[in-house]
Order: sequence, then C-alpha cells, then structure tokens
Amino acid sequence: LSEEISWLSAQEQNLFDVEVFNRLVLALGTDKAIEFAESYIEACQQEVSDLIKALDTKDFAKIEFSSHKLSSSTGTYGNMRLHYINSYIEECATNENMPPELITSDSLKGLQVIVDYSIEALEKHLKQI
Amino acid sequence: MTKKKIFLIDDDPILGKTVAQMLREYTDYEIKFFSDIKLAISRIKKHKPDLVLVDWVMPEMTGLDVLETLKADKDTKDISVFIMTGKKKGEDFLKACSYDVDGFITKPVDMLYMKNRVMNHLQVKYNLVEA
Repeated sequence: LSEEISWLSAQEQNLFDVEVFNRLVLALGTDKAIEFAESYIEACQQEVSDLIKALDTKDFAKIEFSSHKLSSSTGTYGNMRLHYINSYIEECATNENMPPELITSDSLKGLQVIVDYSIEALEKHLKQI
Repeated sequence: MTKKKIFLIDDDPILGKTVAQMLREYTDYEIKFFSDIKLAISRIKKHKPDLVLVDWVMPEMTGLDVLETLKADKDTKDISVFIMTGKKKGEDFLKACSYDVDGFITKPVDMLYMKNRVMNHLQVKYNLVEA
C-alpha cells in the first residue's frame, strides 16, 4: 500500500476544511459554489450508500469505483477526512487487499457516522456564507 | 478569432459541472461538459475541440480507452488529451504516455494549476503550429 495514505493518517484529517471550500468559492463564485455543494451533498450520500453495500459484499470492482468517485468529489468540496478515507479504500480495492477490520459492521457504521458529521459540517458552513 | 474549445468528460456529473464552471470562470475558452462518454466521442469527432480533458476511471470506457480511441483516429489524433486522475502509480502514467497523452491533471483538481497547465499547453501548441 502507498506510504502516503493510511487509515490512521486519514483519521487525522479535518471533517471539513474551510480553506479548500474557499478556493472553490473563489473559483466559482458564492452562488454557484453553494448550488454545486448542495448537489454534491445529495450525490455523496447516495454514493456512500452504494459504497457501504459494496464493502459489505466485498465487491472489489464496485468498491474501487465508488471510492474513486467519492475521493475526487469529497476532496473538491473540502471533506478531507472522507477524501483520504476513500483514497485509502480505493487503493485497498485496487490491490484486492481489504483489511478485514475495515469491513466489520462496526466499521461500516463508523464510516456512515463520519459521512454524516462531514456533511453536517459542510451544511453548517453553507448556512454561514 | 474563434474561441478555443475544451471538451470535458467525467462520469460524475456534479464534479464535471463544477470543473467545467471553474474553467469558464477562469478562461475565455468554450467549455462543453459530457457525462456520456460515447456521446462525447461522437461530438469530439464532429467538432474537433482543441483539448479534451477526460477522467481516468469511468464505468463504460476508461480515460485511457478514450485517449487510445482518439489518438488512433487520423481525424482526431492531433487533438490534445489530458487525463484527470487521482491515481498515483508510475506504471499507470507510463501506460498513458505510451498512448501519447498530452498531460495529466491531478484530482481533486487545483483550479489555478489546471488553468495554467491548459493555457500553457494550448499556447505552446498553437505557437508551434503557426511557426
């Protein structure tokens, strides 16, 4: 596995990085950034649901595909912990080497909690700008 | 002078629209976004954009497949193709280089880097063509 990404290093990342999101606002303008972020939130929740199902059934192709999509979008919208977690999961799936502790029912529930908190942090920021 | 055209292909419509909008904000190029890969290829063959930005990992065809298709066709082989990727392995990049990829953009996209990379590439390309 890559030395750059690990499960532990992913956990050290912010749920929401306001600097990353501010760069998006700078590039798109506030209105467009909010509009796209709202679409992102909806799509992210659906994709995470697909990812959790794929992790539960150890469908490596679907895991790789879903985590890849999530890795890009979460990183773009500032949900950095999810970005690193998904990069890590994608790499594990690519190598078909998924650590068993990552796919226990507790881990999957934990992933959903991280998603919920990450989205909540982004939503909170959207209300403030 | 006609506007330069950039076609963007990404199966993730939200991310694709985000990147397309950023490019519109930062450049005066004509930007078209496609989430349907086959439609994108047919439009590329018809409209011959100056540059194609394509995501690497997609369900029906990968960015590499799109690159290979365009570079193998005499009508589209001169169109610049950049692959957008979160992949980090050297072997993946070497594979793309063997198909004459013109550049890579790392995902998540850094807009300033992308703008500079795309503009510099097109400037060099057209200065060389005109010279």
